[in-house]
Amino acid sequence: MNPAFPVVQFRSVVKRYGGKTILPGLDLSVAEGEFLTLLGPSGCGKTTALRLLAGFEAPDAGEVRLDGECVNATPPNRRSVNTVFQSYALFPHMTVADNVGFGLRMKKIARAEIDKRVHETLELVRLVECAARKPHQLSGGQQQRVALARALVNRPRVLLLDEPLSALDYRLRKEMQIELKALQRKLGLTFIFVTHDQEEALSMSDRVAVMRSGVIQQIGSPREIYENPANLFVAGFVGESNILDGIVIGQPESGAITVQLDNLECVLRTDRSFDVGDRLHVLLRPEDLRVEVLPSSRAPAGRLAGKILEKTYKGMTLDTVIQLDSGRILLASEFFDEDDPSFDYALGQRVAVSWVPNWETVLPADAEP
Amino acid sequence: MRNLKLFKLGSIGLLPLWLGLFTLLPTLLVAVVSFLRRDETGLIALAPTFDNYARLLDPIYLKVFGHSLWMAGVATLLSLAAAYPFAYLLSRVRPAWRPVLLTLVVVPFWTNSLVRIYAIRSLLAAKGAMNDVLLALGLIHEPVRLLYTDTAVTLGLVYVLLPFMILPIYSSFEKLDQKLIEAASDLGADRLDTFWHVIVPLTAPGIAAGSLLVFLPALGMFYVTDVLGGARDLLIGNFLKDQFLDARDWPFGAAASLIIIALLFLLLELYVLSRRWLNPGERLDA
Repeated sequence: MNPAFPVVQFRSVVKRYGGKTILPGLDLSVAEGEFLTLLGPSGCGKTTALRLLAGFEAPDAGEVRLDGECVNATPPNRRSVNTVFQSYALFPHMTVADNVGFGLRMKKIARAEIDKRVHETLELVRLVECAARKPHQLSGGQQQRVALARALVNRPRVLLLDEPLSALDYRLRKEMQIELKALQRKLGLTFIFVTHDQEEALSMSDRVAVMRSGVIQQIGSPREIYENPANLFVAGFVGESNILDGIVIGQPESGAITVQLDNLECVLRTDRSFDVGDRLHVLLRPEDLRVEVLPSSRAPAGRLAGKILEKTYKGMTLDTVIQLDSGRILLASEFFDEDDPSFDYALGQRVAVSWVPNWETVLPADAEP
Repeated sequence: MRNLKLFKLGSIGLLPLWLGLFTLLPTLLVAVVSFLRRDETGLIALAPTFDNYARLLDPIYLKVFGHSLWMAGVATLLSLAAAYPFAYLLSRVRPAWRPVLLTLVVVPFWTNSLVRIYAIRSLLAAKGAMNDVLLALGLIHEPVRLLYTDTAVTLGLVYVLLPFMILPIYSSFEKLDQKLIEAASDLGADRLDTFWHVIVPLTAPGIAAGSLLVFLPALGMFYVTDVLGGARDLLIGNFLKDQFLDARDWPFGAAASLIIIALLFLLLELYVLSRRWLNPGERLDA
């Protein structure tokens, strides 16, 4: 089977509720065995996309394709996709084993085969000893794994996960992230995962699609999304970022521009084309900033000058809020240095801020905020 | 502090006092009377006996009991058949409409049920509206006998008791998580599978509660048979009324009442067991 063959395709899919357009025209392909995450704030259409694929909603226009076939008119029970619901939606009147075996019973599979597959799947999620219990007798994490087993046992072409970890506490969520990813690799299944948690998206996915108002803003590997956000929305949604406004004042060579950035004149490299006079944004991740104490007598020398406004001890890092002389606020996050255990700043201390050249992202100012 | 404690004790104590005085005590009196003899002059003679229970085994009385149970059973099934789809639709209409429709279900309670039974009587009478309509439609050529039949009694029972079936079933439909239905369909269940494997088991508490609330009163609604039924269509309720008011045989009536109370407890116990079996985690507070 061709690994790049799209299992799922959305072709200009439109979905409206009442008078509101949720998806104005979604195009998306998901390859066999891929872990794709739809990431976005609530109301961005990510769950609607999932429901369209599961068959709970019908598109108003466009096509949803599964294995190359249009499934617009196929009811959910005849689609080879299974969903792990946010609320798990376990059947409260059935035991764990009966919950997991439900899909197989509906397919009229032989009893012995059902028992075997239910047992295997419960082993996979480490819940064999809970087989005879009812869902309410399980912890949240266990219920989550039953929901997963109930979907996986059917060996779906695509597994849909609708914010499945959002009800779990922080530590359990971290564990389940690792477990889910391991499971997906082991089974080679196609996962489509919906979340509003960017950390979750980055740590688990092969590809992330960042959505906003029903439109995919950017789709790419977690690294691409984080390091080269396509616009300010992606940059702002995925991780923390500092945004500086600048204006192009010169073009020393092709692929490079001289920019007046805050009080600083600097040369930036970019693949985008700019004209002199164009406004632009420069994005800098807090962890990419370098902060140095600046003796009051000295000029910043090619760096941005400011003072420490606040500092937060985070264990691994020291996070600072810096107010530049222009008034702009920057966030910086620096790792503690083993050689300098007393590394710290005083509030109000004058500092100079720089960054590793080329780690900045340059966006034209007309890009959506 | 002390006053508050007294108030707490007093107000909580009122409940058992009330129940004891108006429920337990009368029931105990009935139980005692059922083991006494009838006295031609003073209603009760203080002579212990099991005669009253032995007499209940007479085929004539057993037939009354059997017929009454049958009628109540039929009325319960018909109510269920009518109420279930209605309650489902009620839970699916727009939330703004639900209070209106629920009120319409409850409105008949504002009229005394005896009055409503008389209304049905006039509808079913030989020269009543029902026969007029059937004649006008040409479905029949001479008035048919509708009144004084088992059918009329069943109709009356279903009509009076239907809201008691609708309300608990509606409440269990309202609690039914739509995600569970989606989950069933996601896992390959068609509509019928979803209905039998998910919807029915999860609304079973409502079905059980509604059935109890219809079945038990249906055993005792003597005025429905009095107004709509023939002379031979006795319910247990008629039998009890006859013993206490007409035959003046209190001990015998008391024995029959006690049997009914025992049956009631048996059904309640079955109901509790069924809920525990269906939903072990759920508390019986709903």
